[in-house]
Amino acid sequence: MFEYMGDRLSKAIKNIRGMGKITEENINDAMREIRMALLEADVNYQVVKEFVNNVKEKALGLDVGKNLKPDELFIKLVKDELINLLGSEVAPLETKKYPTILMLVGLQGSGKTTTAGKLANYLRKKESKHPLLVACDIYRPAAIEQLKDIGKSLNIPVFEEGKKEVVAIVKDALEYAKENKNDYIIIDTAGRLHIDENLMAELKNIQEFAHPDEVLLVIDAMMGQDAIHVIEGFNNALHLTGCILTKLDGNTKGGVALSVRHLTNVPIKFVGDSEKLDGLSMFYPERMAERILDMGDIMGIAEKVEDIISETEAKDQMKKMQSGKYDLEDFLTNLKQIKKLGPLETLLKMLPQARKMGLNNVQIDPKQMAHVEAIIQSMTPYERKHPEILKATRKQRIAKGSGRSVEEVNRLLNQFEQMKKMMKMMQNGNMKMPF
Amino acid sequence: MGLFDKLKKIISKKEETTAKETLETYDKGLEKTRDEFVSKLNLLGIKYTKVNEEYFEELENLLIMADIGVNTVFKFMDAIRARVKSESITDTAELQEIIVDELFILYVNNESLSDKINFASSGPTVILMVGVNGVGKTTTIAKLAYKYKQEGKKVMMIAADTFRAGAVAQLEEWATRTESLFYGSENTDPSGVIYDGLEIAKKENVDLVFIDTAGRLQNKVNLMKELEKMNRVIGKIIPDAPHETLLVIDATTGQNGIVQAESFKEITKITGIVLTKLDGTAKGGIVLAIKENVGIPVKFIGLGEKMTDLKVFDIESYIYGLFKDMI
Repeated sequence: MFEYMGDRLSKAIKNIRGMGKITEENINDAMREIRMALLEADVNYQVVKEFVNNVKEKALGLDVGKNLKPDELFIKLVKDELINLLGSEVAPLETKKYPTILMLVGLQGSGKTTTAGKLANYLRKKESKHPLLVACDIYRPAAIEQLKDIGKSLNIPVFEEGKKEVVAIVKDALEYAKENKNDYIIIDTAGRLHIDENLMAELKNIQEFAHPDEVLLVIDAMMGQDAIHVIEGFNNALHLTGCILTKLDGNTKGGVALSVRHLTNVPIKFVGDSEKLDGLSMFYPERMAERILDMGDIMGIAEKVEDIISETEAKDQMKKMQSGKYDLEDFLTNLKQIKKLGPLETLLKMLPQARKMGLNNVQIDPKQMAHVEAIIQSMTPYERKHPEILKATRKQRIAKGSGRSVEEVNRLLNQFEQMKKMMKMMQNGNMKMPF
Repeated sequence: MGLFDKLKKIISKKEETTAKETLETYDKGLEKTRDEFVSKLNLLGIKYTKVNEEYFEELENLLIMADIGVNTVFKFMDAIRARVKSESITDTAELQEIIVDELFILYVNNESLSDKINFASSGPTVILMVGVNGVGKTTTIAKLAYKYKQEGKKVMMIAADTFRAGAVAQLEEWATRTESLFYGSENTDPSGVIYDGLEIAKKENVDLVFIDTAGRLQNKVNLMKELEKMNRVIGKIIPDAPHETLLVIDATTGQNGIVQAESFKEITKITGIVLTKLDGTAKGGIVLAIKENVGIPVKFIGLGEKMTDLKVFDIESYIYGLFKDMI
């Protein structure tokens, strides 16, 4: 798996390949590339410096056995050290008391309100909880409406009392939760600067009154070097229990994750990875390390797929594919499932070597997928099972029905045939996605 | 030493009231930013009286911490090293002046930069606001609307962020507060909203139309295509429009800022940047890298939450704000 590195880094590492041992000279290029990669990922300068020195020291002490490849050993070291920095273990939510109170804080525009909705949705879906959202952003115009809209679309209750004093709102919300048996209370607060003493005092007041189980800092993954001031500012005032990293569905590397953990020891608990309200996942240090090193995220894809397709379904599909009985009907089902996985670009980007294959910037026109769907849907169920009966007149009818051209129908049929051939070839247990 | 002398002149000639006012706001807004940066630069000067490798390394650290951009910093460091060598500089105090000077050169890059808004010769001037999520597009429109209302313009806001919950209501409230005209409706096609809105703007003889768009991460193809479509619709109703397309960037943004600028520029003709949230501790140095790599200048900066806290960007004041205590 170690060949899945970012381009420049893998080039630099080639120098070590075939060497009998690791010396300061042969890792110099690699160390420089790692330093650049981390700085370009917005990892804090101090952290980068420490990290690079640390890796260098350890690398020089590596015992390269006869059968081992030093380049692989080196990359494993880099990755392990990164994971170490990121916290090596998954940090779940604390639940000390009933109801559990979660308070979200952060700068303006970091995504608190959306994250509050996602968190509520996550708790209900994955842990069968009954969360209550509490609107405490009394400053930004329409912030309360925004949370109410989100609550409405999720069918999750939102407690609001307009622009009342926030501690009073929280007090009433706790009463309300008691009456309505809500087991989780998620408090959405207004965005504020960590240096705004008045507004920070307001957060402290909520904290002293409600004693939340978790005070979570919502932080934008695109943040640069200033992140450390923000994290320290909030942490000093509120003793954060965790962080939620948002907007990871952008093409930012999110090096801020490294700085957070290393400089403050505050664990990252969740990441926001899509604009949809189910776009919240647990934070896995290993995946983050791979993202920063450009190594792809196969685990992430597997998990997304599992959410949509059950194991038995997948096995049935496999059998069909291998026996050559896979038909256009199955193809249509798969297409719809893929659509549910979210934007294809996101998935492609999670593939190892995505950058190398140029997939990180691939643009897929969702319309094209819609065209394919339209063409298949214009066939009769019998035609979908036996595409070989499709001759000129049938094709013309399908083209007309789907609003596409006969050429497009032909192209689709050809591609489908080729795909079937590929599937048969993959019989020998070497499972790969045909897409 | 162009800039440095100018800065010194500005400081000594404080009777120029307009200049002074601008400087004071910059001064206040960038206070936190500057405190950090300058005290570090000064410390550096105390720690190292002679220019040596360690000094360079710490200077590099300082610039990277200001988010100026890794490649830009490395290039900048090369330029500094070259000048140190060719001018035989050994004194760090002298070098500090050169650092400010080179930063200025880096930004200006021999171009004549216009920070003015390009107004339509007749009919409504259309300003399209774009950017990733949460950078402050809606709030910036409010501040701009306030500014131009004060100057006696007839202002209108169009809410084309039909995606985010509460976005239309948020802009509408700002329209009420700034007494601007407003058009928008939720859950519809943003291009449709723009079409209807601009028709009204023409009928009402509005001077200035601000179009608020949904936050979009630059790698989302669909949303970027939507932006393309909006642009076409705007041009159809008002030829030559949008007259300005402003990319809003959060001052806390790191290296991704460059990618943001590049991607948005590919889709739509970005005419300037609005750098928001400079009242925190973030230095917003990424705009220097953006100017160098993508060639888009900053037009406005946000220095606080008040309506009057949006200022026309002035590179000299900006650098002055960063370095005042040092001079």
